Amino acid sequence: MRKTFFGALCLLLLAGCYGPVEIAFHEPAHYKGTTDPLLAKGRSPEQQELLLERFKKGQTDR
Amino acid sequence: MARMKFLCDTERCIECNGCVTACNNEHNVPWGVNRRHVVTLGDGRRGEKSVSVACMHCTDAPCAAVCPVDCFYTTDDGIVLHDKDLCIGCGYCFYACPFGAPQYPEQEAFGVRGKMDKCTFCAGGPLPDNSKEEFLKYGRNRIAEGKLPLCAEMCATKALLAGDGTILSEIYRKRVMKRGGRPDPLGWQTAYPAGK
Repeated sequence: MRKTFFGALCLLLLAGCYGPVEIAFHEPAHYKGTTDPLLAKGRSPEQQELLLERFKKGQTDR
Repeated sequence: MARMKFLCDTERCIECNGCVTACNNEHNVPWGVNRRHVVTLGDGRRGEKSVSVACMHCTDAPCAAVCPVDCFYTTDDGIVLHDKDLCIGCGYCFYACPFGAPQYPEQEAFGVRGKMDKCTFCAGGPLPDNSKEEFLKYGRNRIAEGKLPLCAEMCATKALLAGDGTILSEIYRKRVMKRGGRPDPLGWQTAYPAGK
C-alpha cells in the first residue's frame, strides 16, 4: 500500500517536469521582429522619385 | 533602387557640430546619446581634418551579424534599422561596430543598459510610420515623409551628404577633380600663409 502511494506520488511529481518537445530552429541573422511599413512604401517608384527630387533640391553641390 | 549612404567631405567639414545638434533636436535623442558625432584628427594643428560620423548603414553590417536576438533588418535601399522591442541591450553591436554607432541611454540604476539607440537615417523603426510610438522609440521618420536625413540637409558647407551612393560618389568625384587633388585649396594657405 505504502509502495503504491509513493509510486503514485513520484509519478505525480515527475508529471510536473514535462516540457514541450518541439524544437525551435534558429535561423541566424534572420530578422525576428515585426515588419516595418516603410519597406512597402520604399519600394514604390513614387517614393524613390520623391527622395531623388529632395536630394536635388537640397544637397547637390554648390 | 537607390543605395542610401552618408558621405562626409573632410575638406569641407568645419567641425561646427550642426549635424549633431540637428539630429538630437529632430529625434529627441535620449540624454547621454549622440547618434552622430564629429571627430577631429590633429586638432589645433595645421591641416586638421574633421569628419562627421554616425551609422554608416553598412552593406554587410557587423552589428546585425553579431546580434544574438536578430533585431536588425535592412531596407531595400540599404538602411540598417533595428527593433527596440527585441533588443536586449547586450552591447555586442557596440563592440562590433567600427564607427561607434550603437549607443545606450544611461537612465537606469546600477549601470543597466537600456535599449540600443543608433542613427536610423531618419527612417524610424518597425512601427506605423510617423506614429507617436515610433517617434518616442526611434525619432522622426523623415524618409516616409519624402525627406532625407536632417543632419545632411542642415549641413552649411555641404560637407555631409546623404542619399543614393551612386550620386554621392559622382558629386565627390567632381569635387576632387575641381580641387585638382590638392589637399587644402580653400582655407589654410589664405588664413595661415607659410612662413608667417
